[in-house]
Amino acid sequence: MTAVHADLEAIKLLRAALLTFAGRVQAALPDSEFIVARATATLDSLEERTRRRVDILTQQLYDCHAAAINGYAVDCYSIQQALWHAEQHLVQILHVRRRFEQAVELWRSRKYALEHALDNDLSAGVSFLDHRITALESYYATTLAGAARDLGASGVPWLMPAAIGALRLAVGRGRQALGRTGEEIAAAVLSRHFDLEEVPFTQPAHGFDRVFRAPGLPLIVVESKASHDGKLRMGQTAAGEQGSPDWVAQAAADMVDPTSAQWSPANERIGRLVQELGPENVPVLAVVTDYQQATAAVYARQPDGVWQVVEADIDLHALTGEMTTETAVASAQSAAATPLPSPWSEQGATLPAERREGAPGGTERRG
Amino acid sequence: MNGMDVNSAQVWEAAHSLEQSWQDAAQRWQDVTAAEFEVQHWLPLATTTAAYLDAARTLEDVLALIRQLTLEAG
Repeated sequence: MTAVHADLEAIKLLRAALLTFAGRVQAALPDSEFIVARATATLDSLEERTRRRVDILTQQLYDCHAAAINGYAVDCYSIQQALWHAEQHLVQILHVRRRFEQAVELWRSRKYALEHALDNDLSAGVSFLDHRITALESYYATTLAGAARDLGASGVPWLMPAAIGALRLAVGRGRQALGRTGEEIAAAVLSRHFDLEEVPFTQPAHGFDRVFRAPGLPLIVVESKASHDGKLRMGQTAAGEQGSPDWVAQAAADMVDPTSAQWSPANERIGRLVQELGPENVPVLAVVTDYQQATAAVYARQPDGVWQVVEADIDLHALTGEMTTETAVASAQSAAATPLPSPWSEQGATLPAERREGAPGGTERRG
Repeated sequence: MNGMDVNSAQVWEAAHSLEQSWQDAAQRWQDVTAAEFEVQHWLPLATTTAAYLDAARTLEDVLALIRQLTLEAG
């Protein structure tokens, strides 16, 4: 049996720290571009001034030599010296410019890599932690002995029976645990039963539960509901009924607002996509999990506001059978020991290069 | 000071703070999923950030040279 040894609060703090990190780095990077632009302008100005001085001194030296040839008593040495210094200065500027361009090229490529990591990888990491938080909340809610074994895998979608049990027992113990477990089941239903592809994003406190896509549909907003009787009950918000175009528009506006708690790089991308498509053109699905019957129903919101059943009575236990192979893959992971020091830590700096750089390996990377 | 070092310091401090959070979390989260998170999410992010800071340091050195050239030119 795989031991569950995880502190829920520690994982929640780590999740918050990841988002704080993304915000702080995103704030610093644009300023850096401004500094590079200013340095480029400084170099341009320096080079132009120095070239002009070289031209002027060259002309003066030419005139001086001409005067000497014509018999005038002139001393061209000081001009020659000044020209030599100006030329040396120009060489130095061109040398620094070459180094500057190389350094900027390297810096910019790594900046793009970091931005990409913040935009995609970090969101995936936060989603991973969300799944873990959901799994742990379910575990604490159910205290099912069987859940302890399977929670070692990765999350609720891999163990539908435990998730259904968690839903039943989480009723009255906290809306957050209930909601997250319901979302996991909804995600499993849509991805496995309907072949929709989940789009990773940073789940806000209020807003979309999940986001999916399918061929020809770049964005599908999903609301999940857990219910004891299988009935769909959409909530009313200040922006309108959940799933309505006004509600979608408000959620998108919050996701693109950097001052909003719902902002993250990935959320901003999704919010912008909603605004480009038009909130009224974004399909909205609702997945209702009946935790008494262990079934799910999927509804689609029609333009007139009616929620039409897409499919009802989806057997969640039957869905479990389709997931067993993934459980086997997940359980093949080896147990954790002491974490590797990060590359930017003092300990990490002493690691051999192959352990600090390049694509991370598998479990063999552990000591 | 050339501005770049201030921004790098902000990124470094953010990275250092996150590193602390990860170390704290790792002390209290030691199951198989912690190892999975570390390999799939934590190490790539840390490596990318460290590589960025390294390149930023190189650029800071060149920016210092440009500042020196400006002073010399008067």
